[in-house]
Amino acid sequence: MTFPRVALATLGVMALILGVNLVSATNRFVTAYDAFDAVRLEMTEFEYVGPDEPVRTVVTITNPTGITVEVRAIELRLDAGIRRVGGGETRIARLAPQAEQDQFTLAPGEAQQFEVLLNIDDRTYVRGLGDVEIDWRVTGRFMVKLDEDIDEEWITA
Amino acid sequence: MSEYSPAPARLRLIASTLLASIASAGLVASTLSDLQNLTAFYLSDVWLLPGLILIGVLISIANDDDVARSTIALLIAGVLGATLVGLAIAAPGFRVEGVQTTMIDRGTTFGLLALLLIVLFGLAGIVISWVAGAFLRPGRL
Repeated sequence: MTFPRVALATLGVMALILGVNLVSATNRFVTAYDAFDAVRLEMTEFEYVGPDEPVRTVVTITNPTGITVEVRAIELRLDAGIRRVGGGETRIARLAPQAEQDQFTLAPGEAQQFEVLLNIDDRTYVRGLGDVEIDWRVTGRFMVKLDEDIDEEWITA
Repeated sequence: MSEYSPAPARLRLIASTLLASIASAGLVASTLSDLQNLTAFYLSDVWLLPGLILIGVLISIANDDDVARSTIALLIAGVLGATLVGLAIAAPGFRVEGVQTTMIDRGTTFGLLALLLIVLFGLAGIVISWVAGAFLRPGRL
């Protein structure tokens, strides 16, 4: 076997191994973004009592993908009209019991409800709105993790 | 004087170009932060530059240390390899509308970076191979 043929064979082996790497990484990269795009968050309950009490909300996160998704955190912001008056968050890292932490793992096709308490920081403003109907707006984002190899991603809801 | 046969030489030029483009694209993609953790075989960043130089050396040897043919092969391999890297990074943008602009922009940037890396370090490999060939087989000069 001549040197050029050995060189070509070596290039062939490198192309095979590194080509597999290229294809597998691209495939997993696209799958991850597909999953990030498909996971949905929607508000199912909103309970306001008064300016001195936290607002109780329940959000539903649905995982329509074929892979398991772990919700790491949910952050919500609370606006009264055009003014931000508070917010709240839930993070898996702060939940001690394993049972509660397991709830944050969504199997393929599973939907899970999460309670998030929103604290009102600007109580004076909310109190000043009086008895008029308040135009509440809740926006936020949630952090999901697909597996240990892929970085967590914030998804805006 | 060695017998020169143009058909196998042309075949080796085409084969080395195609194989080098896949190998270099795979090597660059395996060491990019976006894709590194998603690869089938983990490859450390430190292998990127030596790997690209090795690909240059192999292109040169596969083309009988002919600098002109090796350089043409490397340039074409660089363009093809960089295109593959760019498409790999931009791939989610073709499926998910929300990240279309970001990922295609990112793919273009990393594609251009890959082109520079493949061509510059591949050329270094060709020069190394040529100089080594000159010392080991001075009759070829």
